Amino acid sequence: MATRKKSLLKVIILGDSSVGKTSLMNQYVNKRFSNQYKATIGADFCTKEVVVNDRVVTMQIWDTAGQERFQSLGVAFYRGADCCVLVYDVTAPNSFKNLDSWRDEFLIQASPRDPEHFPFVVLGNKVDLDNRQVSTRRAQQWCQSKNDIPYYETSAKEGINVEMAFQTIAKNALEQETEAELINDFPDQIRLNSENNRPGNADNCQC
Amino acid sequence: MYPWSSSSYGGQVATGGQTGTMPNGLDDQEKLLAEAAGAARKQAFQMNHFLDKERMLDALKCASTMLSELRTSLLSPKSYYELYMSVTNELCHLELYLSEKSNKETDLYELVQYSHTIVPRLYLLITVGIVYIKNDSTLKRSILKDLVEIATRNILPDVLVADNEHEGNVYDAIDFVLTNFAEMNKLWVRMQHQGHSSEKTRREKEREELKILVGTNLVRLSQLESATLETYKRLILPGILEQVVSCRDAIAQEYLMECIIQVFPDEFHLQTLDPFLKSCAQLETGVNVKNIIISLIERLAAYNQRSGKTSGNAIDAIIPAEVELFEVFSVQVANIVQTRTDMPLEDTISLQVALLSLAQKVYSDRVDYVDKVLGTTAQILDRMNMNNISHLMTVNQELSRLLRICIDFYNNALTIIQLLNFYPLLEKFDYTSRKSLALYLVMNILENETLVPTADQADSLLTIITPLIEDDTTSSTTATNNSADAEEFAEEQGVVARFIHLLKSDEPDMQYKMLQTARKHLGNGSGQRLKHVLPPLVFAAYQLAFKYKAIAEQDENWDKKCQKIVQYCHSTISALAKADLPDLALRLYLQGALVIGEIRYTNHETVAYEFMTQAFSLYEDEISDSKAQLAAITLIMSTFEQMSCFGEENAEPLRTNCALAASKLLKKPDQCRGVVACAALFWSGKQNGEEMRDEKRTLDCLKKGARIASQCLDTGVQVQLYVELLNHYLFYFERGNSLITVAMLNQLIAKVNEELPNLEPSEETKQIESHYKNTLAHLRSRMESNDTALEVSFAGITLN
Repeated sequence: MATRKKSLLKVIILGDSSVGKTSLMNQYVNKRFSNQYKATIGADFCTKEVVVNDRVVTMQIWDTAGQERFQSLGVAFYRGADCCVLVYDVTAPNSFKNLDSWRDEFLIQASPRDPEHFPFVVLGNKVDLDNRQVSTRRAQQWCQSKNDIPYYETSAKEGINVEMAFQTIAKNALEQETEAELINDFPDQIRLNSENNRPGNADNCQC
Repeated sequence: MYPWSSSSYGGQVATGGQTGTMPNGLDDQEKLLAEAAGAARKQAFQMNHFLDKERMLDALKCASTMLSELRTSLLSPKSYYELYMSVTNELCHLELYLSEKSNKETDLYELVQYSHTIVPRLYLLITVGIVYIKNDSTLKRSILKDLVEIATRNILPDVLVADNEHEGNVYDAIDFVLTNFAEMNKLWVRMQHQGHSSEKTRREKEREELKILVGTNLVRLSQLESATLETYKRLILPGILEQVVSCRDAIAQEYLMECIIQVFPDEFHLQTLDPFLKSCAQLETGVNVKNIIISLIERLAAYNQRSGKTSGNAIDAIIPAEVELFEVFSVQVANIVQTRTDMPLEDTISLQVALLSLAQKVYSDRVDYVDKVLGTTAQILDRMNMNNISHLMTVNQELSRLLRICIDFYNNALTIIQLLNFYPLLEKFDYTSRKSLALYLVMNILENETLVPTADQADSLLTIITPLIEDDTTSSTTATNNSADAEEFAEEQGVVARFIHLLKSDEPDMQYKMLQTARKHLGNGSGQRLKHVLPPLVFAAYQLAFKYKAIAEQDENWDKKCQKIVQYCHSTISALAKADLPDLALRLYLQGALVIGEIRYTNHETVAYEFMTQAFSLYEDEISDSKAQLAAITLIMSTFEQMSCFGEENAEPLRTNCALAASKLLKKPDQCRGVVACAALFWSGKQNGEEMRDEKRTLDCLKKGARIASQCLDTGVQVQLYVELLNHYLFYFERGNSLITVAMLNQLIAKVNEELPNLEPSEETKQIESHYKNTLAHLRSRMESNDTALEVSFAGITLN
């Protein structure tokens, strides 16, 4: 029997506000797109079952707030991620420039075991618009310089490349998980004497 | 699924007022969190292990123990949230497993209720509940009811009409989330009022960290796709606003209003501006209403631009015409300003700035909207009796921004003067800020090369930039007392001068009117200003005279108009002369004489003569420095030499006067040079329109020059003058003045040859030597030339 715990993959989507993180997730999970702009506050996830290497796995996709003032409860959920998706808007050069800081921020907060080889995927979204500002070459160069991050140009609106990008995300996340489980999932060693010293599991609490 | 949505967290805070249960230092927090998270991880590992072995009961027991970690009151809200995140993350594994197996399982929903404490039981119930609902949607309503105070994601009914009554419809969902939102918000607000007042800051920080949980309710509402605009208008927004306004808590209000703006789509906001903005007016005093409104305006303006970009349609088609965006905001902002008397003036002005940028971004062609904002702002200042607003006041910055935004947006000063309230508002500032705004406007005009085509427009603009034209009447510190100030002043006046050149109409009559208008404004300045700003007017007038001359055939009055223009110039120049600027006035008179001589309208000779005599009298009465004198008389002579409009009865006295003035110069070298220059008047100067070619009087001047040179005591200067004289002699010799002989040239050459070697070596000597060497080289080339076209013979010249 295949070990079951491999089948839950945690994916985090990061990027500036209004680059289309929520739209990409919605397009992928629900095959829906809306031109209406609703800013995300905090973080939220969707799940989707996906077949990778003939196996069914569940992808848990975390959508995040791009606007700083709505990232209030911090970034606890970055931990345990199996893949991080960095999104920018090809019509907004600043959102591309900020990829660096999103990547750094993620590595600091999630502190993966092997930051050098942690799987990222970069998506240049909104390729359906005609006022493109960031060239494919420029984006590819950046991705190459960061240990060959896979790069896709997508349109959440038209559904271009979305399926393919998430397929890669799932594949890379799965590889990451296979590596990680061997070490990460073992709990801390059991210290027999320290167990009772913990200050109160709130025994006085009635709930 | 929220940690404190009903009894878990909130309940503890409510009962946990006693000391010692609340978290202590930061270090403790980290330690506590690490311990709790570690214990949870251990249980999770066990749980997964049992699930692998399909030992359901053991797995649930582990899950329950893991969840018990959430039964703590020691963690701060933030740490608690972190623990909650990692525990619920592990629950996902359980959920996933259950979804696969649930068909075969006994009634888990019953089973998990045997967990002895509330927290684990609740979480397990939810987990199992979700699995049940996913497998059989008919259970939705009953399970939801069971879990009533907990908002769960993914399972809210989101259909308008339920397939059967047990599934629930979108109205149930709205009702459910709104209730949850209200309860949660109450708990959140209550946090503010617990514990000691000294811990206020810490409590506010904690609340800050938790706000997202409250806000998430609004996100859930915005995610309901069956909730239409109509539902939003009728149920959702009123429900939220009621709670927000009635909670009377500044932190909650500010955050939640911002949330509403962000999580709901623009299309909804556009249709609900009135209720939203009305609620803004009712918020607590501590709430920064300005930021809320600005953020809404920015969002809608961005929407307008974004949609315009995507669809490629005309901009005005994006925001539906029936939504009178500007009017609504305008009215509501006024209402807010009126009701919120505590709002600082800066904020009131910031709101006007936001309103202005809304008008510009969404209705770019509605100048009247922008003007209305300026008018409202002026009224607000009027009501507060604010005048002469100092550039040191903070409110000044926002006010200046208001005006600068206008200038930047239109990049056209002519549009600025269509804003009737621009100037009245500008008048509220003190001199310093008015001046810097005026400069800003003029720089904008220069950058965009905005041509000003009518006198009225010129008048308005010159009125706006008065601080650049006139001194500050309210303050005595007008003197430019140091060089940095003087430089800055000159630069600033240079900018004004450049602006004057942009007063340009294709209609000559209009151009003249414009010059008169400008003259009226500019004439009010002090002499230091006139120096910079009147000359461009004079030159513009001269240009205009030429223009009339060019269209003489179409305009029969061109002659009279030219006379008027010349009069205008005369009076303008005499204003400069009176302002103690004789050098400048002299040059402008001479320029005028040349222009008049060329245009040749009726009576031009007398007027040209008048201009020359004005120049002469300035020379005689006002210019005292000897260098300046020589420069001035040389200029007078060369001007006169060019002119051909004079009859002999006017030319002769002018000629004589020049010669006389030259010979009366104070210093010998100046005299010498002046007199020699005078020779040109008798040679190429005009007599009845022809060159004079008076060989004798030309030579007389040269001879006189030579005589004066011989009187110089300084040999260096003397040799220099001889070299110069040699050049002059040569000049007229080559042009065929038959009275000049080779012997005269030889004499000068011999003189220089004799004296030059005796000079002390110096920089000046070097210059004289090279000048002489070049002269000789020229002579040599002429002597060796076989060109038969040469008029005179160079034979017999001895160079050594």
